[in-house]
Amino acid sequence: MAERQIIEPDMDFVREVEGLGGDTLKKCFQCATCSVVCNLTPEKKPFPRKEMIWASWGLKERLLSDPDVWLCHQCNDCSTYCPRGAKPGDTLAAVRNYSFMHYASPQFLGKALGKATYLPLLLAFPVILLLFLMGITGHLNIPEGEIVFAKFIPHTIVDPVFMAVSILVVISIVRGISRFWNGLKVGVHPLNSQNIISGGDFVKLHVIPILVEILKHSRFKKCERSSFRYLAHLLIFYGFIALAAVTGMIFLGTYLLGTELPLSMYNPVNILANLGALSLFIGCTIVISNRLKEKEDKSRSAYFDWVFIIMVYLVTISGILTEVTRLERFAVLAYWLYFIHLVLVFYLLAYLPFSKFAHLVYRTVAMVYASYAQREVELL
Amino acid sequence: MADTKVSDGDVLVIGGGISGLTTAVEAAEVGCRVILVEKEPSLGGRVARNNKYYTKLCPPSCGLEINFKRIKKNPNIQCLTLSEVEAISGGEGNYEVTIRINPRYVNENCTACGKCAEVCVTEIPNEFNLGMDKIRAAYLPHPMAFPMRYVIAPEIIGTEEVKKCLDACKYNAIDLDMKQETVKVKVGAVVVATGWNPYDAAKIDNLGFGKCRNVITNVMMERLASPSGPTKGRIVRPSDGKEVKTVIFAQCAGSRDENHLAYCSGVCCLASLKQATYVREQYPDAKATIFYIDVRALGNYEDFYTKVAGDENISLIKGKVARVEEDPTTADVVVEAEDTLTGDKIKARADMLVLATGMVPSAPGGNIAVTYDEFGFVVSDPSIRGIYGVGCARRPTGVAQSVQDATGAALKAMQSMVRR
Repeated sequence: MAERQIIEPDMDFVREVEGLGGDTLKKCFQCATCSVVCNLTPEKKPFPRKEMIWASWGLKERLLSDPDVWLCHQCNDCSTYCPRGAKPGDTLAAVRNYSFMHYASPQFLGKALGKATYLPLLLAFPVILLLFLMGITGHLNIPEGEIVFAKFIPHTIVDPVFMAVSILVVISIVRGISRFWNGLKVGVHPLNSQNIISGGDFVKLHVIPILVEILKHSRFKKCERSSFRYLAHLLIFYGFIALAAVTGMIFLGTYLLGTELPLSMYNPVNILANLGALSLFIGCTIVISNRLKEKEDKSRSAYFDWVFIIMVYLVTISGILTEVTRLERFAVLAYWLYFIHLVLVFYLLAYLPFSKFAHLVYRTVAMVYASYAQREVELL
Repeated sequence: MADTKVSDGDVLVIGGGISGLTTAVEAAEVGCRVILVEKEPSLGGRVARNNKYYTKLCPPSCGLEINFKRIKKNPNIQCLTLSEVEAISGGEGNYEVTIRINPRYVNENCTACGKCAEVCVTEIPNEFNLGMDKIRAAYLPHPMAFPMRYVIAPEIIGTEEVKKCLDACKYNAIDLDMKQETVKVKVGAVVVATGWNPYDAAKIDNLGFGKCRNVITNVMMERLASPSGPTKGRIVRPSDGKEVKTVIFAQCAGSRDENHLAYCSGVCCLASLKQATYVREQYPDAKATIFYIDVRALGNYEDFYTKVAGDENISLIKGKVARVEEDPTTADVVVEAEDTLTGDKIKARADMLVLATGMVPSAPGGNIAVTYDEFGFVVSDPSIRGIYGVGCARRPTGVAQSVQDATGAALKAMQSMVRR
């Protein structure tokens, strides 16, 4: 060893990662079974064995600038074969959870999302905001006649609130992602001169193929042992895409065409919305039931993981119940379920940069970066 | 025929491997009357199946033979083969032991001339060679067997074939009337020397055993290299008999693994280093690669490690083999590991892969008041006097340590006699 390396362990980081689901990381004895059984790891400098020792030694900077942490889709083959119960799969998930909090701004929101004690406060905010806005516009009474949600909470409240929230979310995400990208560039798999290409080539060679890969879920599919996770994620993913498309169409329809809600049950947009909801419901049900069945010694979901999937499930269920009660003309129930649904949607959207939801941008960016930095994984 | 006569003893030793043999001899030579019970037809256990000991690389006949001689000339030892202890009752100084004796169908007249085997055609799996070849149903367990006496397998009892064996025997050594018997004897102390079994490598689903033809275990490698083994000592591939010019050893195959054996089996590192020398000696241009987590060669054994690792045709790579495949055209074995010192993945190809499988304690079974730990090893409980574990029944260990442990166990058994 010609070169001397000084290791500066960040023990607070180790404790935080342990608290976010990586509580077993210190059991690792570096046998490297994990790096071999993983179907998604590159041949050169494979993960997650090196991440395990970095986590154990508290080498925070390396882990935060390591795209490999995000190449993992947590099939848990590594944890299944781990001879020590060190659960590399859960440890990498915990590092990802830490990363959301680290890169998102403002940081106090990141911390709040990671602790159950702040959950009531995080939910109380949209409740109070909506009730306040409804109160000052005189909308706190259950309207008479046909159930039309805009009579209870008008577009003039919902749209500005969610527009403003969306803008803030985009700003936060962009800031987080640019810090993340800059960290990756100088991190453990740095770019070198041959990586530097034009913007057009970058999009053509690295962005578009990765987006296509995500749409196909081809990487997820390589996690053979847990094919149900691939299916569940695919259902949730396309459920969200369908509902996002529906939201966009309705927004445009309302303002450009003056479309009146509710739509007929046979309207294609409504059908798409119902299919999206069904897809989300089935996907979440699979995820939750499998997590409950998962053997504790192979994987254990942390609060951070549970709160996200449960929120998605609750948004789906409240949405479905809102529609059912509206169709069955239970006015009081329908209106208040709609209120609850909006509160939960607010939670998912407004706290996206700080929650596990943010994986959709961080993982995408890391996968693009890995392609750019030539950390290729052979896809079937 | 007459029932087997077994007289009461001072010490019962369960298991006739190196630990049990040594305990029996040590106790008998200071005057204790010993009953040695072995479930196989001959003594020697796992050691008899080895090609060589580490680290002196001498054959197991050295060590076993001298013990057999000591047993033979010592009237204090009653040696019961094909026998198992069914139950033990009583306490220190006063145990009653129930022993089941299975029929050998061959008596002490046998001279091991082999005439019975010559006329026998039925073949049975050769247990001594771990089922790697077959043996005739009238057989000598192995060339060094003690007692040096043939066995008629139960498979041919009652057939015409066995009558031919009977006719072929000139010494009246075959006794087809032998029946399973149960005898009861009294002893003062019990030593459990039941040893170990190799871990079932088929349970390790990512290491290819049972799926790839040229993946074998370390205990199979001992038989393969042994002059009395299925290939007469030629180290060749099971698939096609090709000489093994490249060999890979996968350490900790099931050991130090919560999914299999959570403990270190203690001997596999040295066994693989030793087995690498078998291949290197037989084929001067052969190459061996050992994939390991840590090489556990403690104390003086480190010298052996240094010597073997110094061979330029033997490489040691830090990283556990975790995926094994067979090349369908060549039947070569392709293993995958991460070299943790370079941090890159390796795909290595070899003629044969040897899995360094570990030790599973082999309990005496039956109704015996012994305390076991969570893995099935006999616990040394100072509050329990009169029954003692020894050797690999007590912890995974090598031959030298087992022999030392056996001397200690003989002493403990004798102390139980004094307290009587």
